[in-house]
Amino acid sequence: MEVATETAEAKRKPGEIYRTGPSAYDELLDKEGAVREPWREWMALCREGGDKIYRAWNKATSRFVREVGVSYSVQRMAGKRGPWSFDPVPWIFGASEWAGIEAGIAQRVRLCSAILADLYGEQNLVREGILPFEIVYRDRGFLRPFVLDADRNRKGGRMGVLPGLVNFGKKSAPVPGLSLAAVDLARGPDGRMWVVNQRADCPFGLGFALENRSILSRVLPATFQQCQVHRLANFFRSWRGELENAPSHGREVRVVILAPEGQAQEFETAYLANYLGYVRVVPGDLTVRDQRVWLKTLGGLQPVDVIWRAMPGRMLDPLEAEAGSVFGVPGLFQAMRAGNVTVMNHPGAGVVETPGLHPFLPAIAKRLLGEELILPTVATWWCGQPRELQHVLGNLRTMVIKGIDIRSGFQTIYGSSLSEAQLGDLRNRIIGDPGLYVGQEEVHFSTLPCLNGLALEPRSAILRAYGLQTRSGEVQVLPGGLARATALQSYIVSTLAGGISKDVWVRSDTPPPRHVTLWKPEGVPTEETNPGHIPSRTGENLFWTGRYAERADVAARYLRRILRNRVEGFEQDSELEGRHEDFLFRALSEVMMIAPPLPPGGRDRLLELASLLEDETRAGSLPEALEAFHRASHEIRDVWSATSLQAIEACVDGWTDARSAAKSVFDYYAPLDRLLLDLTAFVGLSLESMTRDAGWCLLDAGRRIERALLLVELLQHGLARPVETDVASLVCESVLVIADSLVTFRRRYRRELRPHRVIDLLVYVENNPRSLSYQFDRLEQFLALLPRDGTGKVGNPLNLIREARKDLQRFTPEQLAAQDAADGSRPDLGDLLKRQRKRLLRLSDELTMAYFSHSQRR
Amino acid sequence: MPEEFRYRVIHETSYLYSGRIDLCHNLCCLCPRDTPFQSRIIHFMSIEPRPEVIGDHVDFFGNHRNVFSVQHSHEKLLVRSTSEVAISTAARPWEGEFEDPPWEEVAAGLPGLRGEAARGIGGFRLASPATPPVAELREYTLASFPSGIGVFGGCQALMKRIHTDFRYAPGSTAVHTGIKEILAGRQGVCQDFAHLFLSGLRSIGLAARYVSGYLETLPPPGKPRLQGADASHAWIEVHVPGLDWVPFDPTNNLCPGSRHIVAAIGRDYFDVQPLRGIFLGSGSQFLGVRVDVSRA
Repeated sequence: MEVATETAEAKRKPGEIYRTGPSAYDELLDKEGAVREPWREWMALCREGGDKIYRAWNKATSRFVREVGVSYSVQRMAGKRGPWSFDPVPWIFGASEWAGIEAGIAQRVRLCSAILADLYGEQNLVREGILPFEIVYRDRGFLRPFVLDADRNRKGGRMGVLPGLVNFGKKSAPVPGLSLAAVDLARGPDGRMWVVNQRADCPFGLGFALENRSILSRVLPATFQQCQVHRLANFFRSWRGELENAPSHGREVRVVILAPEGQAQEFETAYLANYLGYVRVVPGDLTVRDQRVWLKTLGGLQPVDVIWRAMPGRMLDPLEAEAGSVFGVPGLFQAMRAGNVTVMNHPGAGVVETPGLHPFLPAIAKRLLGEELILPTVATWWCGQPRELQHVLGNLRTMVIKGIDIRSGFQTIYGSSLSEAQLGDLRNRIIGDPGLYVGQEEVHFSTLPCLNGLALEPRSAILRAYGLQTRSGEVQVLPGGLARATALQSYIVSTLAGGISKDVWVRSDTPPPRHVTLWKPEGVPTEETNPGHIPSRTGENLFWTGRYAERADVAARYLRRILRNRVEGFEQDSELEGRHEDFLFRALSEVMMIAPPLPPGGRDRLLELASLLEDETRAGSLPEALEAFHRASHEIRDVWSATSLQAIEACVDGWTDARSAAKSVFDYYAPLDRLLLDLTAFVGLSLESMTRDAGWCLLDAGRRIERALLLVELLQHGLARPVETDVASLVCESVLVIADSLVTFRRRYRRELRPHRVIDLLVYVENNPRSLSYQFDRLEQFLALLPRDGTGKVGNPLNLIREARKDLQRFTPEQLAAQDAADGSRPDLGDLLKRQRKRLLRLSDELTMAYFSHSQRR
Repeated sequence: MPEEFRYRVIHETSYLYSGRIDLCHNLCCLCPRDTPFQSRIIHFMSIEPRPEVIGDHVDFFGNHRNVFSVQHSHEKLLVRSTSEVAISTAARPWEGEFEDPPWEEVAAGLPGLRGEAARGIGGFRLASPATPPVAELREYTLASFPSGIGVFGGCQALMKRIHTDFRYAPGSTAVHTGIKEILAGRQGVCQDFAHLFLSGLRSIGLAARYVSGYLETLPPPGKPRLQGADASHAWIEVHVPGLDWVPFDPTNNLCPGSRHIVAAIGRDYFDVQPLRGIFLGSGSQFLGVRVDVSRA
């Protein structure tokens, strides 16, 4: 998200607030230049406030966009700017006008639903020639596996249950054709609202509508109240009611939001999942067994009753979807056929999106609903008919050409923007396969004000409205929606070309209830308390977030120690410090498993350091650990609180900034301090804001395991292996610094830097949060809290930890500090550390096997 | 001459995974469907290891589908489909006297089809994923369809040209080889010739459909062994008003009669893939197919 800030002050005459554009209709001002009724209060605000209020809006908008948007703006993290910017001017509708629009939207949703029921059932539209079959059969949104053929299946199939849109067969529950549909509307020159598109596959934008409202109701709180704007929450409450209204087999109905792998629609689904309180899953989180859908969780497989899908229907089941599809949940359609899961919207719902339907909608509405269309559709001609083809070819310059299969990748072409040669190419293309295209009249939509810098400018806009069809057949329309305006003063509104999103205000004649809550009425236990509700993928990423955060932390401590010695130590005794640095490089290289390893010699050390600080492609480098930390935490962004997400950003962005600012490796000293602080803030915030459930256990377990592993290695290099006597105390000090225990040591033991005391503090002292004993202690506590999945697999990790603790108790610090007379090494300590390292690595594997790996039978 | 021939078809597919598989879902299109000249006597599937879930249904094109899932650890999968069908030996309508309607008229009438025909015939006029329109192929096809020639006559001429111009070369193409490549390479297998034929006919506006099926493995005494007999076979059917669907086998340059056993019908191969499976677990798979067709 970003806010349009480029200045356009120069274009504005003094005293003039807003001048209408070239369009025939403006939302704010009528032909005489008078303010339209619904906008009065808003306009009064602008008149009073002037530049001051625009400045305030811009400021507040950027702040709220950052606050709300930072949590979800995926593109920003990937280094790209999001396609949306947000404009603080709403699109305002009066109550009486909206009533008409609302009826029209509701009718469209009913119509879409009826079309689906027909196309996947009797196909009367095709049989009677009301709709040319080519339009249906060439659309990839039309899913043949869902076509109900009553005759054939009554005779032929023993299962006999094809998932249709009606109740058919004993086990199959009545499946609604459509739950939620979107209608894109724009106002034509005549002042009427026209339908531009119908969307039902996985209608996008509700998350943005919610977010825009959340921002704007805070930017303009007083005007929002004054205008008596309808709240959105009721609609979402009804939607949730619809989603949960499924056969539950005696337990709470489990609804999941299914999103595609990767970042597409991540904002939308993460926002909705948080808002509605459902788990957001990707296809890999689900599995089909016994013709049922299951969610892989930390507590084993849990049944799923309802899937709200945010991915295209044709990608849902690779077994039955189009050839070559690799996405989705194999076996899902069979589970639907068996009546064991409800998928909303129905996977085949995408077929109502084809613009090929538009010319036939009036006749279809008459045939299926017995009604005239309330809202007209933009005039459209299907080129598969000879006369219509001639009309389109004859008027190509004023046509908008669209493909009938919106999934074919064909980009809408505006005839008005083409050269003669391009028009010729387009003509040939259409003649080559006319049935694939429609021509649509190019309509100049109405304009409404957008704030650009400190000026209001007219921009064309379209409104995406939403309707929810309940099982009883009624349609509830969202009183609001998502408005999209053109980024420039052009007529083409497109998400690809970059657009501005706006809130939509529907005014009420009566004051709406002050507060609508989405909380469930009575004390239903929330899902989070049950570890069985945490998807395994979430658990695994929590675990690795913990491990990588700790790894980055320790890497930063090594590097900071080395830099500090370079700055301070070399002046005193550079030969001794040189050997001390040899130790640090060797330990760092081996502990962090740096590859290629650091060379033993002293030359080029600065270059090596630079690479460890800057090169994320080098294994074991700090940026590599940060990148991995970012990736793991990003995969599960919906589990973090807004503040935790800001802390993640601070770690990653802070280091990126440091890299671009640094001129020499020594410039990294302060950023390293900052990074350690940010990492600590992230860990602290996360542990503070998460419930103490299985997910939290795994986050902390990851951290503890990594800390223990790196500590074991540090002690191995610093104390167990032979170290030259004169450098030993410097090494001991470094060990304490890297293990963040120097201050504790001094407080406890004053100035006597004896090895057995270092061992005591870092291995045995149970209340030192940096000691090995402390890590084991915590791990044992967490492991006991983790769910057991019936196979008792958790037993192994627990036993490993108990074994590790017993092993420690076999020695005293003094015994472990005993040196080999010949080379000064500490063999008992070395062997003990080796055993512990093995156990820790096994523990990590065991956790992976028990909780994350579902290729194993469960 | 008996009234009918009876055939027993065994179609065996085996997967050998490189590791153990804990879950696989499969969709089969192996059960021979009934046609005006063919009736299924029996069909059964044997699957090893024993699947926990089985089911069946009829698909959009009227084919019988079997679905099954193996939900326990296994290293190999064997799917054997056994069926017996009876095929009439009666003369086919196109073997006698008939009126061959001019192809342009037939093509012009297809978009306006109504009722069951819109779906049952009209739908096969349209390009499908494996048979996209290719301008070159349209030219190639039109060479066999001079103005006024009948649909049947044109198809026969085109079938002969495909048979002559293209080399039957098993292994020269893969399942996903596109028709442009086949057109350029001038070689392929039965599935490729069928796709080529379909795409050509659809590009000039005729309705044609893909047929998957089988040929007798060993020819009866005195008859030549047909190409494509050692695996599943493919040919096409063209809709000719007055004759209904007429089969053409471009691989063998003949109109199939009582020696072709129909398994399933679709727009192209991907609608009627004999066995489609998706498994969870690591490791690649080896696919072996064995088909045996004998007189029962």
